[in-house]
Amino acid sequence: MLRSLYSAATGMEAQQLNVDAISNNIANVNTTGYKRSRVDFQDLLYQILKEPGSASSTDTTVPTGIQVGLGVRPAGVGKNFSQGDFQQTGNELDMAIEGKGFFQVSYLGNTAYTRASSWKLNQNGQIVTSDGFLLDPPITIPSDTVRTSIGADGTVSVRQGSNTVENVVGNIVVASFPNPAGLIAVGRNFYRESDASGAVITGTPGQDGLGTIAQGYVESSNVSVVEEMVNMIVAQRAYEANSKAITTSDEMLQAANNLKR
Amino acid sequence: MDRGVSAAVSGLIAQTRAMETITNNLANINTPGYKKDQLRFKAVSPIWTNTGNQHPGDVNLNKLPAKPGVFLNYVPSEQTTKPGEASQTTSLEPPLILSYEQYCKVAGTDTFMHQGILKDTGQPLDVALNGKGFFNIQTPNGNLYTRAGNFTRNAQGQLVTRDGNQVLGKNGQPIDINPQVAGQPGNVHFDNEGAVYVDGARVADLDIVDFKQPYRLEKKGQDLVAPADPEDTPTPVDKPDVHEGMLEQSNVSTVTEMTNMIETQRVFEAYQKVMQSYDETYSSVISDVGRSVT
Repeated sequence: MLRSLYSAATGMEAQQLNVDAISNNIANVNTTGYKRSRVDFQDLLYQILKEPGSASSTDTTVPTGIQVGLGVRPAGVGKNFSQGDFQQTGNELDMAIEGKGFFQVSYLGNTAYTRASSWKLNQNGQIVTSDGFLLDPPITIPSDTVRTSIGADGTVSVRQGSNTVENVVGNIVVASFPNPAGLIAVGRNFYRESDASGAVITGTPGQDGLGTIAQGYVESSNVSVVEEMVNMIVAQRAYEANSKAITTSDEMLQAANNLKR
Repeated sequence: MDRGVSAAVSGLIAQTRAMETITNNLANINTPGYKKDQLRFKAVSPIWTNTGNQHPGDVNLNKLPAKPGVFLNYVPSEQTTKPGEASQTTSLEPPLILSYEQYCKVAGTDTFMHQGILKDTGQPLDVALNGKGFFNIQTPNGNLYTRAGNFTRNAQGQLVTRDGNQVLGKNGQPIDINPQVAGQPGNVHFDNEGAVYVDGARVADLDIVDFKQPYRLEKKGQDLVAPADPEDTPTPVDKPDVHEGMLEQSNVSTVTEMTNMIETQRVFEAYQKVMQSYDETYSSVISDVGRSVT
């Protein structure tokens, strides 16, 4: 059977995965703190019909061999952590990281990392994500707080009741990774540390190259609709080209069958 | 079997191989650093003569008369030497070339090494080469080379390919991109000539090499290539043009591949028609020749 049938099938599957990733990016175009994904492809094995450099006579060799490739496979899906646009909300607990870094969240017994910037209070006055997972280290806002301010360096201070001075109630710690593209996305805008991401480095916002905290802002998704649309066109056309290759292989096989009538 | 049928079969097989190569190009249209392949065909002329000697294989057509049906202008001779006797030379009957139709044979795969488009990805560990060169990659099967610069980092903090093979530096060692000072964020930066900086400190230089015959490379899959000639040792590129945050796209052109595909299919069909004509001829020969005309 023609190898091209199977090669083209790998091509179609790869482009399907590409469209899956693009669609997920577009679906999350309004998800705060969402970072776009990209699928990386690489070529599959080659079948060598003639070795390059094999002898064509006693003292000459063939300059190039015959190798037929067997298609493509996805090598990985990576996240792109470029900065998303900032949107002013005016909410006191909305905070975006301007620059590198992640918030730490206690997620099911582990630490997860997120760029999501819309924070809430739970029934105990602790800062939590929209799903109720605690910010790590936890910060409690007293119930009689009038005003909460969060500094660029992550200092959270509150003005309580009729007090005129602000009390510091906690410090936000920002985490960074040598290779954030290697983080594992676990949904809910959360990421987990992996071998590829490298060990977590925590620090004070604004120091050692870490980003600063911007209160009253959310970071919108870094998906660019135009870019995703262009990628979608490329993926769709590549899908079509591969399907045409299957059609052509099929017609060639049909022609071969018609050799004998 | 008629020799024309064999010629048509050789064409059918060659076009099938061509189709397989085109499909592989199309499947890899979005593979970073992929270089397009194209099959090269050659004509092979088996010589059929009246002496009953067949000389299939490659012949130097310049030494043969231009047209079939013409005597060769030299007389091959046979020397027979018996012990104790003077050598005797016997002239042989000159062979008559009956035909030398040309068969189609796949001569080799050419890899087109021309530059693919550089696409801005914004990923700090993506590196693209503009112009000559390959990244030197350490794999379990020895050193292999790639143009795909979509690197990542492994558990030890080394710069690796998507398959976890280490990218080598000029010193032949894997490149350590761990933060040099504890607590530093470990920002990686590549300069235009392939030097690697971590948090501003130069830690290594990418080993970017080229070959004397970059067209004679054997593809190993996973975007990796090896020189076909083991004696073609890699030499460092003098002034590589390295772009960080970019990826070299595949150099496959959809239009070209679709055109080639149409051509391949139609040529295939033409051979099919040839074979059908032979089939019809045989069929009528078998059924009609010798039939009494009534």
